[in-house]
Order: sequence, then structure tokens, then C-alpha cells
Amino acid sequence: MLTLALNNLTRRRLRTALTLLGVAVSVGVLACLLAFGRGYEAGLGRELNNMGIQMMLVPLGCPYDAAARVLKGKTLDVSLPAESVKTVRKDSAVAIAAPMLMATLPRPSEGRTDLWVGVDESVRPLKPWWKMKEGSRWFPDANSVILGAEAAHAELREVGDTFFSPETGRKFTVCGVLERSGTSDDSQFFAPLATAQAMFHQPDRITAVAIRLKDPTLIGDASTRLQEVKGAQVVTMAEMMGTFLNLVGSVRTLVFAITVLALCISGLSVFNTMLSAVLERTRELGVLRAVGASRGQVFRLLAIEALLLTTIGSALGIVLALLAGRFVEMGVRLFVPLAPSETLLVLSREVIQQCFAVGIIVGLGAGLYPAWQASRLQPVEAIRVD
Amino acid sequence: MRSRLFFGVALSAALLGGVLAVAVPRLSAPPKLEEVDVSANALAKKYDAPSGLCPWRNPASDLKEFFPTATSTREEFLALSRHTTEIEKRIHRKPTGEETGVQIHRAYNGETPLGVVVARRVKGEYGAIEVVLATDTANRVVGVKIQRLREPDETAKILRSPGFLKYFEGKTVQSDWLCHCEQIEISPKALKSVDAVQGGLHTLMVLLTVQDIWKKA
Repeated sequence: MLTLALNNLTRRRLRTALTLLGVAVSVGVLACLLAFGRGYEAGLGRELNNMGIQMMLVPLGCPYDAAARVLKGKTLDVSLPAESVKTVRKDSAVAIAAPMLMATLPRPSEGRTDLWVGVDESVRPLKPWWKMKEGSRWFPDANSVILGAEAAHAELREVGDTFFSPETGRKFTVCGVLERSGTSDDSQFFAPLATAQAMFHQPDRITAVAIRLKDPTLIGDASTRLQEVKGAQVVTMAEMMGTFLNLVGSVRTLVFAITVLALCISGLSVFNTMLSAVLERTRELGVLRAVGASRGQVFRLLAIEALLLTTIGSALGIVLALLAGRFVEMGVRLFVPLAPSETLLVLSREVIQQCFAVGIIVGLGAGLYPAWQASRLQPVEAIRVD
Repeated sequence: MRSRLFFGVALSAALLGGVLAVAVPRLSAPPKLEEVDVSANALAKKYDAPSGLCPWRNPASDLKEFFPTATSTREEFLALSRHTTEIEKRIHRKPTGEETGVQIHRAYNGETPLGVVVARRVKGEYGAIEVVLATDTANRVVGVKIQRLREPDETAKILRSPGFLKYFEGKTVQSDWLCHCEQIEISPKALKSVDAVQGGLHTLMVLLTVQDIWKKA
């Protein structure tokens, strides 16, 4: 039956070739767009992760004031119990939660304020822009300090130098100096969390929990849950996250619309070919029925033809996507806002499998009606047709 | 006629060239140090950290203290990069970018120049120390102040003590700038920062004297 189906397809080579091309182009476009959509989302997610903190848990008060203060690296007047970090870490959407204690030491005679930030090692992934100068290392002991680039320049400090905080009477060893990053970190003094808590008489207290989520799209649910933490409120980087979610939403809609279109084209193409084949071969199918072929056998013959067309077409489509994917990406990039700079079109095995399966299912579905119609032909009537 | 004119122009050009060749190096050359700078080398061995620019934070009160008769000040930035080799020779180490420039504040009584005030950041043991130096028109130290520091109390008291600050008064760049602790009772704990202040002040004096600032004014 497979040989018979193949012979039937090769009899009308041009039509078969055009149908294969239709299926291949549809599956190819589908594969490219799915891969691009996923790459775009992943790329945006990576860029968002590179921005570091996505949410902050801060003490209750004016959220706008809290957000502005945190973003500018200023201290908050009230604090949270250190235990709130544990609560945040328990949330299923939270990837990293880093406790921070920020405190200021005003130096009015110099027209400046020293901003001290107590942190632990969990803050490092939230500051991907941190690059330490040569010889630097993370706090080896409680009396170590890491200086922002500007703070180190102003105090003429290098790694290994000693440093004194006259207001709190503490002596430190400079264990690290950050490279200039253009952020508020440049002018800050970073101490181990416990040291900062002791320096500023805030045992077991923190001023904020910096949070990164496993998936930025979970921000709404995570935010609602974390609002329940007693005495705390959540400050999201609302504008940034809003832009991210809008972009992801737009791209998902775009990909979905084009996917539906591609599938319709692919299905109609197979449907048209198979229906034409049935109409053209009505007499031949009638003869087949007359010499003893059952309805089921005729149905299977047409279904196998449709299956062959879609399988070969889908395979060609994947090859097309692999060959022409770069050009599709270049074209799509022109219409997508804020596209991340790295390659977005990565045809993963998962995408290939999905496209292949969808191509076959749609093509087969489109071939079923003509096959069913062929199986219902009455042999006598079919033989009479010219 | 033409050849005479040509001869005349060529002779004038040659004479002018000769005068310039003699005068220009003299104009730009640093003033000669007649006395031997005995302390610079020793200071460089004890303190070789570079100093940096910083603002003059209390101009009104400092000026009253250094130059009580001053009626005005004029700010000026001296770019000294063309004297880099000379500065290096005098401070016994390579000057940093910030050490090839100095922000000076000239003090005047009417139109009469009184001296200059300069502020500088030096590397103390526990943080930056900002010093203010005032010199008169003969490049002698009129006064020194510590405008900011991050040292522990014991060291801060010594650095701000009149005994230590007065120690520099009257010094020139050729003077002995080494610390004579027995004269001004300096605790060994404060030595590093004392050396930093002395080294920084000496570097400032070198920067102020590497070219004749009063001739220019």
C-alpha cells in the first residue's frame, strides 16, 4: 500500500512538489518563529537578570519613596526583622533573596554622606555588573570592607590597605575594590551584614531584601504573596517589569498569529492536493473498489498519501528553517522592539520535534476528509465518471 | 636691491632665532635649587604614595588664618605636565596624572600678592587626609591645616596639633622635611600618617616651585 501511495504521488510530480513546498514553507516559518519567540523571551529574561534586582521587600511606608531611596542607594528609616529573608526564600517563585542593611554616616563638613551597605554573599548574583579589581576577594573576616570605585579613589585606598570609620570607631582591611560601574555602588562601602548590623546597632535587622525571581513573568503572583510578610511591602521595578511583560506578550501574540496562519496554509495545501487527487482519481478509486478493495483500504491509501506528503514536507521545512533561519531572524528583528543583541534563533530539539509533530498532525487532519470521501464512493457510480 | 632686502630679512630672522633659542629654555626652565634638597630622597623612601586633587573646603576661615590682610583670592589651575621629568627628579618617583596639575588660590591685598593656598589629598594610614598648605610669595610655608581625615583619635589629635602643624611654618622646598619626632612628640602609631602628610606637603611644595608662579602673575 505504501508503494501504491508513493506511485500515486509521483504520478503528479508538479502538484506533489508544490504541496510539499507549501507544507515545507509553513513548517519552516513555524519552526523559525517558535525558536525566535522562545529565544527572544529567554534573551529578554537574561537581560533582565543582568539588571540584577527585580523586586525589593522593604519596610511599610510610602512605596514610591522606598523605591526611589533603594534605587538611589539611600538608606531607609525603618527596618525589617532578618527573619523576613527566610520567608521570602520559601516562596516558590523566588530564585535569590539577599538581605541588605543600608545606613548612612553624614559628613557635613565634607558635604557628603558615606553610605554603608551590609550584605552577604547572596547579593553577588544580584549585582552582575560587579567586577573586582585585581587582588580583591570576598570578605575573609568580619573586619573587611569592599569599596566602590569612587569611594576607593576618594579615600586613596587599595586592596590590603586599612580603613577607619571614625563615627563608629571600627577599623577595617580593604579586601576588595570594585571596578567603576556607573551605578550608585561606586560610592558605597560594603561590609559583611553582621558587621554592619553591629556597627549601626541594628542586630537581626535589615532594611531591605533584594529579590530575583525564577521567571520574571511570575512577578504579579510573587508580589501578591510577599505583600503578606508582616510589616513589609513589595516594591517592584514596575516600569521595567511592565515593559518586559508587554514585550513578551506582544511577541507571544505575534508568534501565535503567524503560527495559526502557517498551520492554516499547510493544512489547506494538503487538503487541496488530496481533494484534487480524489476527484481526479474517482474512476480509478471506483475500479479499486470494484476489484475488491474495501472502504477501509481506500481510506488508508489516501491517508498514507497525506501522511507521506506532510512527513516529507515537514522534514523539508525543518531543513529550510535550519538553512534560512538567520535570514528570518534578520527580517523579524526589524519589527521587534528592544531585541536582545545575542542570537535569538536557536532551533532546539524540542522546537524541531514540536514543529514536526504539528506539521504531521495538521496535514494528516487535512487529508482525512478527502480520504473519507474517497472511501464512500460507490464503485458503479465512480466507474461511470469520465 | 632685492638681494640686499633678502640678506636683511635673513639676518633678522637668524638674530631672532638666536634670541629665542637662548630665551625660551630659560623661560620654561624650572628655577634652580641652590641648596641641596636633602630630605626628598629620604621622604620618597618613607612615603611613595601619590596624592590627589581635592576641594578647598573652608576658604573663608582658612584665608583669615593664613593671610589676615587678604582682601581677595583668584583661582588658577597650573598644568605642569611639561615639567614631569623635573617633578620626577625632585620627588624621586614618577608623578601621577593628578600630580602634574595643581589648583592654586592666589591671595591678594588689593593688587598686592600675598601668597597661595593649595589643598591636596594624601594617603593616610586609614583613609585620605586632606591638607591645606599656604605659602608666601617667596615660596615659604605660611601655614598648614588638616581639613579632613579618617584617622583614629590618637593620630588625628597629633596631626591636628599646633605643635605638628607649626613644624612646617617657614620651610621652603629645600628645607629638611623629614620627621623629627622627638621635637614634636609623635607617637609611633601615628608615624605612617605623619609621613604621609609630610610627603604630601613636600610634593605640593615641589609642584608649586617647579615653575615660577609669581613671575607669571
